[in-house]
Amino acid sequence: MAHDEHNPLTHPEVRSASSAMYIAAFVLGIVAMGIACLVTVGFDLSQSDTLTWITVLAVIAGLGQLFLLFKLDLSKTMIWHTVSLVLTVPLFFMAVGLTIWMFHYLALRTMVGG
Amino acid sequence: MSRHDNNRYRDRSPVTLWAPDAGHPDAIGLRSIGFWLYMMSDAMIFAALFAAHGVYTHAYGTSDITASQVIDPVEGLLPTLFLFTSVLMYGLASVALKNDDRAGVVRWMGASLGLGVLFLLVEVWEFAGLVGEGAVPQASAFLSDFWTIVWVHGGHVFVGLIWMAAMLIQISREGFTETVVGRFINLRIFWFFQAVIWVCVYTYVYLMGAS
Repeated sequence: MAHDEHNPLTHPEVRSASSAMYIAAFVLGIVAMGIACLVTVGFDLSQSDTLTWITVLAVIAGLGQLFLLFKLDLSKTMIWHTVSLVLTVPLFFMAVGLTIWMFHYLALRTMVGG
Repeated sequence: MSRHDNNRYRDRSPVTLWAPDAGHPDAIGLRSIGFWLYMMSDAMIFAALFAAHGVYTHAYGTSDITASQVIDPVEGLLPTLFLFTSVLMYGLASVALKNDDRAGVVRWMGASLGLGVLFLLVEVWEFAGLVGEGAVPQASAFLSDFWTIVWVHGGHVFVGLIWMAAMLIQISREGFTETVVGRFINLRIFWFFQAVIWVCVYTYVYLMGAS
């Protein structure tokens, strides 16, 4: 993370700004969400097919934004940002997935309605 | 026994607690990783909300208002466009910062702020319509969950807009000092993070709710 200590504008996180990557992130996000919306309301797909498609598109948009906006990589500047995200993502999906799984079987066994 | 022997109890020589030539600490990098870790914990708040959404997606109780009646994916594209464009504007402000262009930073950040306000206004308009239809949070578990997810994200955007307004004042007054630049980088993390979370909200709440 070496940089000119007297000028904060030489910091690697400042220097990493890139118009091309920000525009690419914007286009990717808008196109992916637009297609996902079209898949949901414009096509007569089964619910599982729709969920698969919009999940794939969300993953593409999310990963694209993480890479293009945050510049996450294994460089000396960003490696610990990347590592902490990689360690957080499984926790995120475990929290969501296991909670839904637990309450799904709870509902089946107790017949509790909404 | 000499004055500088290994027995520290008797050694009265001065102790150096830091290396004078260690150089300038990377304050911006330290603040950035610290704030990034905070955002990771913030992501876990959204994990809890998405988990609740997965449980309450069809929990209408005695209410006859279903998800497909209150969620319009096409209407949801408008706030998506405003938020993503606001993030793009903040990105362009970052490029202006890189180029030491104070006027450019203020101009692009002002545009980002304005688009963020539009995002919130569209959300307010959408939910005001829901209130008119009786789709209030207390009507069902699904609706309380729907309101909470969207407005926890909206609350983040609101805080980001206040932060952005404060940054505009600081940049105009102080210029690009190390403290100001560090705050700018942290706000960039915060603002870009709202776009990533919105991808999850739009997909998991708006699109799945309508499918």
